[in-house]
Amino acid sequence: MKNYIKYVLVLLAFMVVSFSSWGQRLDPKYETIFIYQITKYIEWPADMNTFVISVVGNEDDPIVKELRKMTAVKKVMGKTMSVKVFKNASEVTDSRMIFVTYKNSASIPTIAGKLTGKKTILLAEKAGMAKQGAAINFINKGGKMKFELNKGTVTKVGLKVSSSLEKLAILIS
Amino acid sequence: MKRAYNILSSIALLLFLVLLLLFGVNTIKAQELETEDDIYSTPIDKLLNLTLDKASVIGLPHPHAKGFFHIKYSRMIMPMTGFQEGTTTLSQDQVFNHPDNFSGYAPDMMMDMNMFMVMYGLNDLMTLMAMTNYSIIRMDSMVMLMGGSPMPMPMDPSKGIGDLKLMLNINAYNRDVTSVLFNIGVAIPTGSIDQQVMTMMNPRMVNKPYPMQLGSGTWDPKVEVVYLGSTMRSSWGVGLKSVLRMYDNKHGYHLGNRYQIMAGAGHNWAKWFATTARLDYVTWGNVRGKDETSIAIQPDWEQASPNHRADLRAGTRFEASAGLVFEVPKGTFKGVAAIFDYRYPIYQNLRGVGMPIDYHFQVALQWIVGEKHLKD
Repeated sequence: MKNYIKYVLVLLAFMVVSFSSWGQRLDPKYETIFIYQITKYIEWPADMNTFVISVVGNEDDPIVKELRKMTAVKKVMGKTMSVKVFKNASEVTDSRMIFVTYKNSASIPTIAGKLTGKKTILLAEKAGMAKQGAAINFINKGGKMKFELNKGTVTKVGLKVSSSLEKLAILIS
Repeated sequence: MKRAYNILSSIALLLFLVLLLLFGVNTIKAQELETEDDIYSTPIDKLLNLTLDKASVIGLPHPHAKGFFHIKYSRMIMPMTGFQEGTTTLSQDQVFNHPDNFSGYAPDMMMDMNMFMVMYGLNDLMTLMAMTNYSIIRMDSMVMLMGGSPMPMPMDPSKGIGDLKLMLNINAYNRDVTSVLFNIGVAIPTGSIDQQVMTMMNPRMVNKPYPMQLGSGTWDPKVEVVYLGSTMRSSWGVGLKSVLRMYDNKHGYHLGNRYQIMAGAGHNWAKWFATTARLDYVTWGNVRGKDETSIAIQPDWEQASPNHRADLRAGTRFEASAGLVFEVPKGTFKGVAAIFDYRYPIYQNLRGVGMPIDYHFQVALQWIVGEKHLKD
């Protein structure tokens, strides 16, 4: 039996490597398309110059790459889009949307607390985050991507969403 | 071993050819479509119905969403060589000189199974599964008559369908990317327990030994509990499986209960390639009762091969397996995959004298139908 322990250890090491990349729960391409489509259902301030999407995460997070591809070809209300990446939530500057990656979800209540009246939508991708202050939270439900909408949070930041979007969302109070 | 190698190489080649064909057709079709689409224009109501890619672990039960079909054909070979007692390997001489006075020996045995499985998502919480198999079981036997030299005993392979398994997978808990499944079902005794052989002395047809029968002969409840986690790149899970044998079949015996603990993980290294690994602990009981029509209890066969003994069937195995999954990554045939899985028994403890397994090797072709994806 002892002779075979090394095989078991190799297998367990393989499993640990697998477990280390649990993070990507949702398809970043789908999330990016969702984000672009959602911009159409929100009444944005008319005086914005560039539509900035900030990401709390790392430059090599897959969502950053996808957002950059999208913002290179799309506009919101005729305005160009750009992506900024911040490792720390405290560094985030004025943005129309803030996307918090799964690993940084713990910072959501803090960020949400600073957005009152800022006309900024806080986006998350971890179960339960809509209750923690995210306005829109992407989740995996039964192998499909859904999104939670916290209407109270949207109102708190000074924005209004279309009733059509509410019908498509899982509403969180 | 040569027989196993020939089977392996032919089915592996066939599967690769099928996959390459599908991949080629698919790539051409996908390229035609890509230029037409602006994926950012995909409306939200359509996005909500798209299927997220996810990794899986070969061998761990998993659920499917409403309307999904999962169709799988697999071929598994399981060679066995010689005998061992407990964890000690026995030679042919040791078997014939065993205190239990065995007069039979099996140099090798081969189980060759063609398995067919269909799963269907009734809704997002319940999945139905049906599985059957067509098996060919070969055993080379030696007998020693009247204290003479061992001589081969011809025995035709057992061939036919096995027991039909019906399962209902219930997704009892689901949060984020983890879920708990309760699976309940039954093995229906569609497999023959009347596989027979002609005796050498006083020729007549009698039942072959227990491992050469194709089914259990009883309706066997199956209960499983599985904890699964699955992201787009990785998956992991643990499971408990049991098969319970409750009553005797028409020949006056029933197989032993079987319990299995599984732990495994899988990782998608690319959209077209994944690897999986699994550890299994399996324990099973002795046959209860005796096959009254078996060769072992005929008057001229007081002590036959260990394979005929109902009280030598139990054992415990600890197995490690590694698998490769090649999947068509996009287009119409996305969801078609070829699977190669090798399982090695790193520890086997047979209660009494029995045949240990050399390894399991499985190749499979599967198609998950009903998934919706972007034309990426």
